[in-house]
Amino acid sequence: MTCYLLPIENPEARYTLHVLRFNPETDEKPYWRSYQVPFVSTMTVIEALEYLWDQGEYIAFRTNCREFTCGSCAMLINGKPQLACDTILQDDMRLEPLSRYGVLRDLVVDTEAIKKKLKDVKYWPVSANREKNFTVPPQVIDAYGQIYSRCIECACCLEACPASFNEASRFDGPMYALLLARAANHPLDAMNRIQQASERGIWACVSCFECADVCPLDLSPAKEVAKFRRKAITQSLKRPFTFRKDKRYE
Amino acid sequence: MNEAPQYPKRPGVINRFFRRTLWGEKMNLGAYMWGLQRVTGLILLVYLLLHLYILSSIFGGARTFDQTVAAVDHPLIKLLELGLLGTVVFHALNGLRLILMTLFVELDQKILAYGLGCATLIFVVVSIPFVW
Amino acid sequence: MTLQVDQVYTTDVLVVGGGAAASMAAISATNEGADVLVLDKGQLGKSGCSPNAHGGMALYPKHENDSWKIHFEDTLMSGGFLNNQQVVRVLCQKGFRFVSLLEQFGSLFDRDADGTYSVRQFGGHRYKRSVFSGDETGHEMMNGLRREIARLGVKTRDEVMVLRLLTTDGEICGALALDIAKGAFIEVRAKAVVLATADGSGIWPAAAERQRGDGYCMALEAGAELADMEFIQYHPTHAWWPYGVRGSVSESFRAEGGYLLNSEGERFMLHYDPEQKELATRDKVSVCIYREILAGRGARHGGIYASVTHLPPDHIEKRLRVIFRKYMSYGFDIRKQPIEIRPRPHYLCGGVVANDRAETRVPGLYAAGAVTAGVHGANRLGSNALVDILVFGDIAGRNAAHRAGNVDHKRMNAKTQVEKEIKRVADLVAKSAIEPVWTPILRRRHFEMMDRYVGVLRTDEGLRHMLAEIERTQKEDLPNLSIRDKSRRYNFELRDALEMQLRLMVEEMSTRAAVTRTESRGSHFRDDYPKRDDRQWLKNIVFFKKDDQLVCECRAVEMSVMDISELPAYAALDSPWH
Repeated sequence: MTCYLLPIENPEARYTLHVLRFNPETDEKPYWRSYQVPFVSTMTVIEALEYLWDQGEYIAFRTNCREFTCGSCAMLINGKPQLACDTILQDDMRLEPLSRYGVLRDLVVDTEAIKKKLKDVKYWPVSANREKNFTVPPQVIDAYGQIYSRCIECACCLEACPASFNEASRFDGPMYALLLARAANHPLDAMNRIQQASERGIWACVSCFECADVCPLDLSPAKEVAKFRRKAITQSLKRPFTFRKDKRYE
Repeated sequence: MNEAPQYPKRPGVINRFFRRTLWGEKMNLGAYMWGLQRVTGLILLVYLLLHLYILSSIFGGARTFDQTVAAVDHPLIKLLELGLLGTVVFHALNGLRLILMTLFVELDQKILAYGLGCATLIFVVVSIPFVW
Repeated sequence: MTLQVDQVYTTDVLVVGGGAAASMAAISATNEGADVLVLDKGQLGKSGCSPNAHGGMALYPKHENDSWKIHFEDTLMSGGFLNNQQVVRVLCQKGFRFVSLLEQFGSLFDRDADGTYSVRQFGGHRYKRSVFSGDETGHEMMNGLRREIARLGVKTRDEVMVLRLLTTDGEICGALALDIAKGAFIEVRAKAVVLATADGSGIWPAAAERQRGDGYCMALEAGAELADMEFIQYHPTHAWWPYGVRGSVSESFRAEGGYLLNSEGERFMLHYDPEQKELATRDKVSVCIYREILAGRGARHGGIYASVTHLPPDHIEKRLRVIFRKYMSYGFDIRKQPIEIRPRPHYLCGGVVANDRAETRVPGLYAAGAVTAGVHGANRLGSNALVDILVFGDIAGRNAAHRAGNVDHKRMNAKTQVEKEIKRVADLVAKSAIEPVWTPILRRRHFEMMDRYVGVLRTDEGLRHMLAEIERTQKEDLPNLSIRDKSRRYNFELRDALEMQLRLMVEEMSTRAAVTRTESRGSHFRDDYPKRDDRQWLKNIVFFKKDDQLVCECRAVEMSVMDISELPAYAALDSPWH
């Protein structure tokens, strides 16, 4: 475990960590369990969980990169959706699985719904002729570098969004809006993403900017929603009454 | 692919928000604004019904209407009216703020939110002599 | 735990792995018309090391003097001429196509004002030729590949750990896997298998320690050969302090002009390598840093300082955005302060022997990506790995699909193999040893010992000590290895214990190869034999299984494209510590 790289033998403090545990085979209901974890400065939650693994407490959680590029360790930390590898350990922290998805065990949730939805929204560049040459304006490169490439699809924003309760909500959720914006900005994309975004419920967004608040990479999906809305408004102002009938989409 | 989870269904937004605030995690200003917008909307709805009810006494004749109006002529009601004014202004300005934020993406929502709070307060204070 | 096969899949091509090589192989095989199943130990696109590859892809010869030949020479010089030259030639010639392919899939890479790709130079390359996207190239690459996988509707199964490849009469006929999510066994019948798992650097205390070398063991059991297992590349700049920061500080850090400083504030690389300075190859920089630390000129917490404070702040924010953010979230501003780094294990250059058609010795088994040997020789050049996985992922997928089109499903005659493997898992679950050995404790001891004895500086004594320890563990500890958690779903303890059994095999091969090689070359540095010995050691050390016994064999390198005498620069290349 990478936890071994820390000078964990001489900790600065001992913290308590509360974890909501649940094993579908043996437990009827989830229950809270508290653990004592040593703390060395700048130690993160994931390292605390790994330390517990080393002690034989195999709490199930997903982890891979530990440097916020894979987005698999999203969980509710003190009720706020955060990446465990991005959150520095504090005393009396409460860890729960994401509440939007079904829990498979302890902190592992069933994210198959995300995959299915990503397929539904066609988040790849949709184009009839993909082999054609294209030029990319520098502002698109910048937008990719600053925003779109950085989204790691960790589902933190989906968890925080008050307008999107679950995968069946009218509004897909902030993450999907951002990925649609990414696709819309791709030079090969020929799909009418504004129409698609409208149908995907961006008008239900309440502009609370919770998604921007919880995003571990400081992106702002709400801004992407606002951009989509603005584009939709200007488009329908330019061509009133034709917006709905636009069949270029698809 | 995975079997249906056997986990008890866990509640949605309100519990999520409530729990977080309970455990000392602050939320974004926009989330509170959103909550206030909902609450003020509900208050306005209740007021509207009340208003219609009071107005409907006009069908009982001029006397009944006068009586009803006299019944609600009370300092407490005046205070409530001030509150109502604040609610209306807040609700309207917040709606305006959302539209502005959609049209001008780069606007800072915090400044707008605090600005509209101040505007509501000023409006209410200024209108005190008119209500009384 | 149910002790039979719960689910049987039948498919043309089975892809084992979940990174870029696996995705590329799956895409290519699907495009060739084959029916593909991808089994991934983590979540596809989120597991493995591809998403957190920072650097770049060395495939765009932008400079007018640059050509595939020069890239080829660079790779060979860095790899100590142990590379499989046919494979390297394919890598250098075919790489270029893949940038535009990835952009069709949905990625976008950084461009200059004139519309051509931006390039940066990595250690050991003579020209700037690495295409990148900030310092999250791997993530952007996976973004594209993941979209294409979704678009093609490739069948994927997440969180399935392949335990063993099944063979009939020496040919691949499928695989047996354990579904971690459910705790059930899956049997896959396949005409061809593409092995695209990670390398085995996770048996050292590496940054991304999900790379436990499962692929090596699978291939070895199936009858393939492994080579170059002694070459564990240490990444010179690995985050060391603040402790919470994880992962390697990408080579882009040096490529963009970062300095390495010792405690006296001196750019020590100027003494060791005045020509390439900080941009020397990784093996060299690692040894230099270790030398500095051992000489007592290390930084406060035991690392060495790395600094970009002399670069313009906006340049740092744009080009090194991941590192910048990573440190910023621990309250550390790399624009103003130097960071502390230290070499850590990064990449095991060796692996499954595969030719330029990605075929291994076993018919039907293809290998691509980090699991293969031959491309990188004794030391990997920065940003060659991302090209490797794309090029050979593609080739492996194509060839596997062709094979699948030409042969029929073998009659599955691997019952004993399946039973043996299921028994191994069942024994582990059911075991109640009197003096149980727990995986984390054993693993931690082996981490420390591998780092110390089979690390940057190796000695005969230390390596033999390690061999004895491995033997002891196999005899005494492994029979008592137990798990406490007996449940089926997401039993990570079981997964770790299964990996523990495999990793000893990889450790043994690495250590034995390191003992055998009595010279210093590339990332293999022997303190007692500090000289390169071209007369005796232009050889690959190859492992394979014969009658269930591990056989070690030295095999001379084929100079099929370029002889060592054709590159006088290499002979003159004298390491600073000699």
